[in-house]
Formats: sequence, C-alpha cells, structure tokens
Amino acid sequence: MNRVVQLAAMLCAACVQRPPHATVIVHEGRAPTSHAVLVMPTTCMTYADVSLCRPASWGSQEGTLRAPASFGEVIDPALRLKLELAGFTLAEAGALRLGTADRVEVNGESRVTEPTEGPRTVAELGFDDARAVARSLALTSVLVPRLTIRPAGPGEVSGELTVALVDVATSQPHWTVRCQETMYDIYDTPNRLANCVGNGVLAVLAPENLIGRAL
Amino acid sequence: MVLVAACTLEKMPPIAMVRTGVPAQVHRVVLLPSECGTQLCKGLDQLVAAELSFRGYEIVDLERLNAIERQRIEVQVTWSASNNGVVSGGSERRVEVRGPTLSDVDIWTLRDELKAMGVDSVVRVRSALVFGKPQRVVALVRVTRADDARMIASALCELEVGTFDTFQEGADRTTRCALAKVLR
Repeated sequence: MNRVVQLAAMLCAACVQRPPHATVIVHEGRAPTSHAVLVMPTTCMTYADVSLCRPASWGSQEGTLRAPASFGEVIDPALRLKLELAGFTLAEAGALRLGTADRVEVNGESRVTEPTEGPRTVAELGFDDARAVARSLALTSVLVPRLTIRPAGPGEVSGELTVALVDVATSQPHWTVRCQETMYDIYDTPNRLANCVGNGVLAVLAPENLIGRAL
Repeated sequence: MVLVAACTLEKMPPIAMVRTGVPAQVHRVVLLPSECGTQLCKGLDQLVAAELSFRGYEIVDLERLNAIERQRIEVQVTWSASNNGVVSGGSERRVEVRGPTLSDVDIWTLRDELKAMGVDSVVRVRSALVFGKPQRVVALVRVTRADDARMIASALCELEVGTFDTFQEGADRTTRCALAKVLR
C-alpha cells in the first residue's frame, strides 16, 4: 500500500517538476592523463540579485534545518561522492593547507593559530594559483563546479550546475557536465543538481556504477 | 493495524556498489578527515579507524602525531594556608603543549612526512544526505594507494531514512555497510 502511495506521489511530483537531465560534453583527444584531480569548492554566481547566492536570504525553510552557509555545503558532499565512485581520486582544495599552523594545547584543550592573514587553503586561491599548486602536487587536472542562478520567468529562478574537468597545463576542459533545474528551495534543488551532474559523469565514465544492485 | 503499520515502515532495500581497483599491499593507512568536519563525520571517521585497527591495519592518526618536536611546559602550583590552626591547601597543574601536529602542516610537508613514515594507503569516508521523499543516506568508503593515488577498493551503500530514523542513524548504518563491503 505504501508503495502505491509513494508511486502516486512520485507521479504527481513528476507532473510538477521533471527530473533534471545532464548534458555531458567530452572533448575528443583531451582525455585526462591521471584520475587524481584537485577539486575546488562549488562557487555561486548570479545574473540577478546577488543575495540569491546566499541560502540564508531565501527565507524560512522547512523544519528546523539550519540554512547552509553556501550552496556548496549541499552540493559538494553528494557531488564528490559520485565523482569518487566514478573513479576519480579527489584532493580537496579546502583541505590542502598552504602553510603550517601552530597548535597550543592547554590542559587538553586545543587551539590552532593560523600562520598569516593570507589564504590558508588552496580553496581560497584564484584559479591560476590553484593550478600552480596542482602542478606542484603532480595533479594534472582541476575539477571546477559552478552554480549559476538566473531569472527563469515571473517569480522563478533557475539553477544551473556546471562541473568542468580542466587540464592544468592548458586550462582547456577535458569534459563538462551541466544540469539545470528551477530552484524551489535551498536543499532539495541543489542536491538534485549535484546528483544529476554526478550521474552524468557516472553515465559517461563508469556506467556500470549508475545502477546499484540490492544487497 | 499491524499490517498498516508495517507498510508505513517499509523501506526500499539498501543498495550497494563495490569496485575493485589495482591490487596492493595495505598495511599502514592514513584516514583522511571527512570534509564536513561535524561531530557526526568525526564519529564516522573514528568508527572506520577502529574497525580497520581491529582488523590489523596500522592507522596513522594525523591529529596525534607531532609534526616537529613540540614544547611542553608544565606548571604545578601547590599551596597551603593556616588560619587559626586550621590548615587548608590545594594544588593546580597547568600543562601547555605547543607545536603543530601532522594535521596542521602544509600539504607538501604532509606528503613528504607520510612517505617517510611508509604509509602505503589512504582511506576516505564520505557521507551525504539525498534530499527527497523519502530521504536517503549514502556513504562511500574508498581506499587508494598512497604513492600514485590509484584506487584499491571502493564501496558505496545507500539506504532510505525511515520514518523513525534519524540522518545520524542512517549515516552510521550506511558507513558500516560500505566498510564491510570494502573489507570483504
């Protein structure tokens, strides 16, 4: 019975909002030479009101869920998980420290002091500097996810998530995946976009992982 | 009534995917901290570290190993006072340890240190909530070679978060599921 209700609900939802589909562009002759890549955090840009890129400005959301600080908080975990399932080994820019921090522990309580006022991790660098770091770590490609929010008719905005695998040496993309969806909220839609892009990558690079088998 | 309740609680079966990569000797591993940094993610990391340790793998804990020689200052203050023949006293101890651990060092130093320690594999745990109706939790455990970052094994588990379950419980179950698949 529950399955029937769920199926009906899914059909109703499908009438309202079609699932997004991924557009994948693979550039011929530009296959990456290594599966180990530097992954940047998702950045957001908009052609409309700049506050649209701040999830907290979208007003009160369902339940007691805290509004994420950025859309990357919702997109990155799901996207990176699928990219790793597709075979990439990700070096996360946000976890790569540029300088050594100092640590002081007093009676077991720990405190970290950052070395300078400048960028602390690779995630805070511009693209060219991030490329230089990638080169120094023998990473040949950089994954760049970007969410673009734009007006899509009266009272509506759409979100487009584009993920490009860019060659470090030439700055040319190996492939690009894009998904677009009307933005209804700050959790569901970004999450659907992340899964859509992830599935797009899986479909092209590791199709055997697209459909799981039951335990 | 029982049947209705059972239908309400019914969940889709879990989904598991396993990939096997290049063969490798796994002996000394480093567990990279989860990207989310929450207590839940730290707990899942510890869960995986404990299980790997139990299975005989040597775990390199970046937060416990000193990057350089650290400075330790210990101050012990003992006092006593006598007032109208009543003696009172006490002591206070302050231990300050200064210096970075391996989790604080820059990426180039960390890479060299791990190589010097003979770390042969890197383990990464990921978990994510899939929004929708019903909500699902997915977890991935991935083991790669330290020298060339090639995948040794990878497993993903995905399951529904039930009516009476929390995301935390779901994340715990999916991580255990993925870990069991990787270790199989």
